[in-house]
Amino acid sequence: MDNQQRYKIEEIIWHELRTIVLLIVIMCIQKIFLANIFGVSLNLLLLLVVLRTLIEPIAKIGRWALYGGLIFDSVSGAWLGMHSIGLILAAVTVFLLLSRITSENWILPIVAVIIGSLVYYFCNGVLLYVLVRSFDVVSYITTAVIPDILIILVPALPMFLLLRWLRSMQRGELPLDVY
Amino acid sequence: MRDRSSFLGRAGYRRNALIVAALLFVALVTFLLDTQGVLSPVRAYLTNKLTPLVSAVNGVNGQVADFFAGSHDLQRVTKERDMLRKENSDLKAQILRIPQYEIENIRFREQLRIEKTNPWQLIGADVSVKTLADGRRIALIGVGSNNGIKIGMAVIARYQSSPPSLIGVVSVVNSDSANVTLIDDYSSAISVQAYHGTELVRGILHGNILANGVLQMSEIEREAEIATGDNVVTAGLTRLYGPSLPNAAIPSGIPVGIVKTAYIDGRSKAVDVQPYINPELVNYVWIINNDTK
Repeated sequence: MDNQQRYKIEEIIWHELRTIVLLIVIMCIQKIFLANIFGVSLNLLLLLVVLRTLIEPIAKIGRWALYGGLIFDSVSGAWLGMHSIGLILAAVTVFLLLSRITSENWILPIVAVIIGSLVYYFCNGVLLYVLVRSFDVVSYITTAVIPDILIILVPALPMFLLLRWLRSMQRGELPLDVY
Repeated sequence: MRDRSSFLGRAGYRRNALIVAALLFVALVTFLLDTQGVLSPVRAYLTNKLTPLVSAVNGVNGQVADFFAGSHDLQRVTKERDMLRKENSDLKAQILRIPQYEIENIRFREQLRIEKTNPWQLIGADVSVKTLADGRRIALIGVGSNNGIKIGMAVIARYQSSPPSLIGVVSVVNSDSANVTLIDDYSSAISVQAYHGTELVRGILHGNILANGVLQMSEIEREAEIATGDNVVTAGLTRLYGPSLPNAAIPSGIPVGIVKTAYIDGRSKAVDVQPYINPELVNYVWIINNDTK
């Protein structure tokens, strides 16, 4: 029984290009509107990757993480692939730890964002520690990790509900919440 | 709601794991190659292609930041405007009070001058209402028993170049107001005296509504020497006859007016007195509080 739909090569390319364009738009939105909130930037890409991991296939989110990370690296001057590694590992960790919990639970996105953010910033910190001699771990934690995690928690639940609602609309499902 | 086919089932799980592993591998290889400088041209190419977009985005970002900063400035300017409006309002109120302060200053200086030249302790009061109905001449003043006002106290005033002159007597006292029966009221009867050279002529001063502001001094001895132009002042006789009488608080020597005409009225003499002040023209008065002097 082979239910897998076969796509033509041009359809696959078109789909991937569409994803890349969408990620560029997301990056622009992040750069324009979310660059500086109370002195902290909101990492919209990380938020979307982690939250979509809860409701989308991991393979699809893996591609998002790879493309998004590369785009982020290109516009931020970082080494290519650096943020992709962090995003993919964050998505994988969230997937492995929380995949068996129902996505109707409202606490799930909070926990997922905390875990995903910790993994993401841990990976980035390790890579920076290895490659940058003057990297200060304490400054990184106090000025980047903690503020960024706190600010990304704010829109976590609304964004998750929005994504879940969009997903339900696509599938014609009725969202059911568990309190 | 989760797409469970993506991770449930051994085949799907393995396939997804392989895809993710491949993606991670690609990312790691890309990262390692870039750190070794192999992908520098690729990075330069991507950066060059994305630079215009990044610049445009940064421009919009600056505009957005300026918008929010402008919004913040607008809030600050609005706050400052409100403060300035309030300050302006306060200053206007102060400016409006300046003439009032000047008038009060003039009145206090006037009161001080009167008190210096006369043995009187004065209490200033605004004239609120003048009742002219039923032929009465009553004025309502803005002080009462709370200010030490009592019935029978003399009320004086000044108008232009006139001396401080009697205009009436307190007849009714309320807590914060009092009625003054003016000297031209028909019920007014005040003991007065006129100086004719070295002679002193006493009589009773009455108001007369028909006399067009001219008062009538009666009960004068037929042989008394009195002529036009003689000064008429209060005699303070009530105090002599009985300190508890209503008009006992009127001291002697308060200017009232000058003799206009003198004539014989039966067995006595009568005099028309032109008061120094028309009480109808007065807006501010002083009450003589003789008890404190």
